[in-house]
Order: sequence, then structure tokens, then C-alpha cells
Amino acid sequence: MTNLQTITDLFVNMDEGGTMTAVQARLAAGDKASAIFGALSQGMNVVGKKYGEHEYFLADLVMAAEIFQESMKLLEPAMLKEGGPEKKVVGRMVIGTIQGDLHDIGKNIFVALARNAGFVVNDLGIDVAPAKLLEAVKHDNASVLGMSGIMTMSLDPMAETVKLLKGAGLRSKVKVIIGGLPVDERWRELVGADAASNDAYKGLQIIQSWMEGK
Amino acid sequence: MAEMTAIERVNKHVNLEKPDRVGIAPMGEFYYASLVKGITLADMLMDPWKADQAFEAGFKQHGGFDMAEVGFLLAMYMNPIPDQFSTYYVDWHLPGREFPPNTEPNLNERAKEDPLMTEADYDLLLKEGFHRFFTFERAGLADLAKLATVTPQTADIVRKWYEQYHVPTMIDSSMNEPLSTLARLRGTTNFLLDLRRCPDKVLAVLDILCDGLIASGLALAEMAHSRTLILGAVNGSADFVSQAMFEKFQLPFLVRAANAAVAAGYRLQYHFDTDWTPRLESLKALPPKSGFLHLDERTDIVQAKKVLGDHLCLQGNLKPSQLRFGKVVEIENEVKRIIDNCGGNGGLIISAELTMDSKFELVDAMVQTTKKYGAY
Repeated sequence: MTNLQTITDLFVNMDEGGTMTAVQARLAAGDKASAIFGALSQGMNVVGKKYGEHEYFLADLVMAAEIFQESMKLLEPAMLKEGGPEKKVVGRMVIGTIQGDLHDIGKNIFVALARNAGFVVNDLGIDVAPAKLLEAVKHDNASVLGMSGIMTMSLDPMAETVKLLKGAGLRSKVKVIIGGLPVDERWRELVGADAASNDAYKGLQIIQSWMEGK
Repeated sequence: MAEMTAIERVNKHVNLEKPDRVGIAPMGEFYYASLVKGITLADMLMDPWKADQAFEAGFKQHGGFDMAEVGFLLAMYMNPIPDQFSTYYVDWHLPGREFPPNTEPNLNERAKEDPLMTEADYDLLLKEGFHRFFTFERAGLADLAKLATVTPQTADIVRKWYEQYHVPTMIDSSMNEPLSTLARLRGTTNFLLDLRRCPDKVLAVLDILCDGLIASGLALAEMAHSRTLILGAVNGSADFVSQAMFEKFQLPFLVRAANAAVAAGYRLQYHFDTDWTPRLESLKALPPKSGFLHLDERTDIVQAKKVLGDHLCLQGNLKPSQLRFGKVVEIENEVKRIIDNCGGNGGLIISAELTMDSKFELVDAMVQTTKKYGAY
């Protein structure tokens, strides 16, 4: 008989069919959807950790995010019926690949990890102008702004966005993280961001630590 | 040691023999547009001679390089082969087309919901074969018409550099392994999912695509009188997939494509972006002394020298961002570090992927430090 630990194990082993079957079986057996969600979240944490330790790769993160999303399609209606306490919102984040840049695979993974960790994420997609990011930060009352880019030309619009945040009097209220394979400490300084990471899982740990400090 | 011509020097490096000094050959065609007034990135993409004019300006202003970057149009954007670089098939956004005239080309990785190639297309490709890939067209007639002029012009430019300047070319056409092409057509996310969901189908399509890419790559190279072909790989690196996936889905095809190019008499630039450090041992399967392995800063070039030092010449690997935001002394120190650790007795060409906003004085520091400090 499948139990919740089995769901976690199947998820961590990237067994898409097995995970989906087990989720359906546990729902049919009367388990609370929120408990099944917990088992999947635990699995996602393990996957993220393995990625951080170079045991798993981007292909694994993509697969894990896919299984998670597919499972949520089954769980969400049941979770709504169950009512109970709403899932805790850890923080609100606006994110986008910066203007002039179309690369988004890393950003998408970061978004999937952040959502799983309880962040409400407004993902504006690719080639996003600084003014649009600012507008979304204001609208969503976001506490985190993420900007992604892999080209040296990405740095200028990133820096411009931080300048706009300052001009709007929001800089002290919004933490800024930049991401992309080439970003480093020098990029962070030049952009005026609070953190830079070229690893989605480490990026998640950074924004989680910000929320813990609030 | 007497000063060698660039052709002699690069030949020695590729053969892992000791020339007069370490080689210097930066990449990044669009940097050169910034050195010439009146030439935009869009101009370079439309006209091989304007691209060559810009490169030649950079070549002269920096006192010469050991390889000429002359064929990127044919190897990449104007390439009629359905491969990862071609704007005809893959969703590159270009200056003067989707972008303003001075914005660098940029690859749209495609949203999961909007791939160029659907999952159902795998079956179609298996049924109908390589020619079916040519249906994934994105270019307009105006783009296709340029091919007729780009190919002979590239041949003339290649000849000019070898015969007038005695400088070999770094890239003048392309040879492709199939994984990167399939990843572009399916979109990275879909493709990574396919590797788990339908691995046998992916493998069978890779096999068809590989032979087609080899045949068409060789045909194009012959038309352009090419000497050096770029063979690029990204999606099989340790940033993307496991070693087991790499060995199953990319390595056999990389080796097949490389062997075919070498057997036909071409030199290769193995252009391996992102992190290949854990893969270095596997790269010994590539034909020895068959060209140069271009690495970006994600790969540990010192480790690469240790593992591949008696197998392939290395090219790399300063950080592009350092050449825009760094200081001259940092560039000098980085060049010296690479030479000290990887110079050995040849087999090293210092390089970096320049961008249109790379700073002249920083690029020059890389070039001049290599020439002075890199003397054997």
C-alpha cells in the first residue's frame, strides 16, 4: 500500500507515472490533499538539495517541477474543498528576464522552486522593461524583485530598474536578487542588487533567508 | 625562437607542439562593430564584407590575432542547415529584424507551451526522415535570398585571410551534433522532459538528424571552401544533464560528427559553453589533435589542460563580463594565470567571447599580455 513517504520517494526518483498514480491512490483512500501536498513539497526540497550538491541536474529540476505541477492539478480541487488554513504566503516576488534578453530556463526553475517554498510569484516572462518591473512591484506590494539575464548588456537595464526602485522610494522595502549563469559579485555591485546567484537552489535559500529576517 | 606566421603558430598549437608563443584569438564578432563608425550589428548580419571590414579594423587596432573570425554568418545566422545556429529554423532574434540595429542576437528558448516542434513531430520525423526538419522554417524569402551571396563571399574572405594575411580562420562554417538542434526546436524545457518521457524516440530522431547534419554540413563547407568548422555543444554539459544522459544522448553523436569532419579534412573548433569540467575525461573520445576546444569560464581550464593536454589544444577562457567591467591589471593577471597553468609546451590559445560592449583597453590587455608573457 502506498503511503505518503512513498510519494516523496517516487517524486525524488523522478518517477512521473508512479507519483501521479500514488497521488491519485492516496486521494481515493481518503488522505487529506494537504498532507499529500506536504509529501510532494518534502520531495521537492530533497530534489533542490540534490541539485545544490551536483547530484541532480537541470533536467531533474525541470522534471520535478513538471511532476509537481501535474500533481497540483489533482490536489488543488481537493484542497479547496478541504478548506482549513490557507497555505502560508512566505513572501511576494516579482520576477522577469530583463529587457533585451530572452533566456529563461534558469528563471523558470527558480520560479518553480520559489512557488513551492510558499512565495507568491508574479513572473513577467522575458524581455521585460525596467518600468514594467517597477509597476508590478508596486501593484503586487512585492518584497522581492528578481531579474535574470546572461548577457553583459543585461546589466544596464538591471541597474536602471534598481534606480527606478530608489526613485519610487521602494528600495528599502524591496530586496533585489539577480540571476543568470555569468552573474557574480561584481555584477551585483554594479547593478546595486542585494544578492546574485547563478544557481536556482542557492537563490531560493537567499530569498528564504530574507523572509526569515523579516 | 624566430617569429612564426599565425598559420604556423596555430598549426603547432593544434598539433600540441611548441610554437614561438601562446596563441591569441578572441571570439565575438559584434565587438568589432563598436570599433568602426557607421557599421551596425544589423549591417554585419546582412553583409559578410562589412562584417569582415569590422573584424579587420579590430585585428589591426589590436596588432593582429592568430585566427580570423570571418565566417560566422554562414556558420550561424545565414546557415541553411536545420541546426541550432540557423535563424531559418531556430528562434533567434536578430538586430535589424526583431531587434534594433545595434542589439546583439539573442536566442528565444521558447515557452513550454509554444515549441517550434511538437511531441507528435517526433513520429513524423521518424517516418519521413531528415528532410522533414526543413519544414521548421522561420526565415522569410528575403533572408533565404541572402544565402546565394553569403556563400561565395565567405569563400573569398577565407581565401583573403589565408593568402594575404597568413592568418588561419577560427570558424568559417559549421558541423553540428544533433542534441542541441533538437533542444532548440523542442525548447529546452520540453526537450529535457522528452529525455525522460520518450528516450527511445529521442535517440532514434537524434540518429536521423546526426547523419543529415553531417551530410549537409560537409556540403555547405565544400561550397564555402571552408577550413575550420564550429562544432558547438551546450545542452549536454554538466549544467544541464547527468553524465549518463550525456553519454547516451550526446557523446556518440558528437564523436560521429567530429570524425566525419576530420575525415573530410576539416579542422574543428569545439565550442563548448557552460560547465564541461566533469565531462573532460569523456572528451578524450573526440579525435586527437583535430582542432581546438573553446571553453567559457564555467569550465575549469586548468583541469582541462591536465585531462586533455595531450589530446586537444585549448582555447579560452576569460570571462566576458571581466572584459567589460574588469580592470587592466585583473585581465593581465588572469591571462598570466592561464598561461602559467595551461601554456605547457603548446596547445593553448587565449580567448574570450567578446561582446559589443567589451572595453577596448581590456581586450587589448588580454591580447598584449598574451603576446608578451606567452613567449616560449
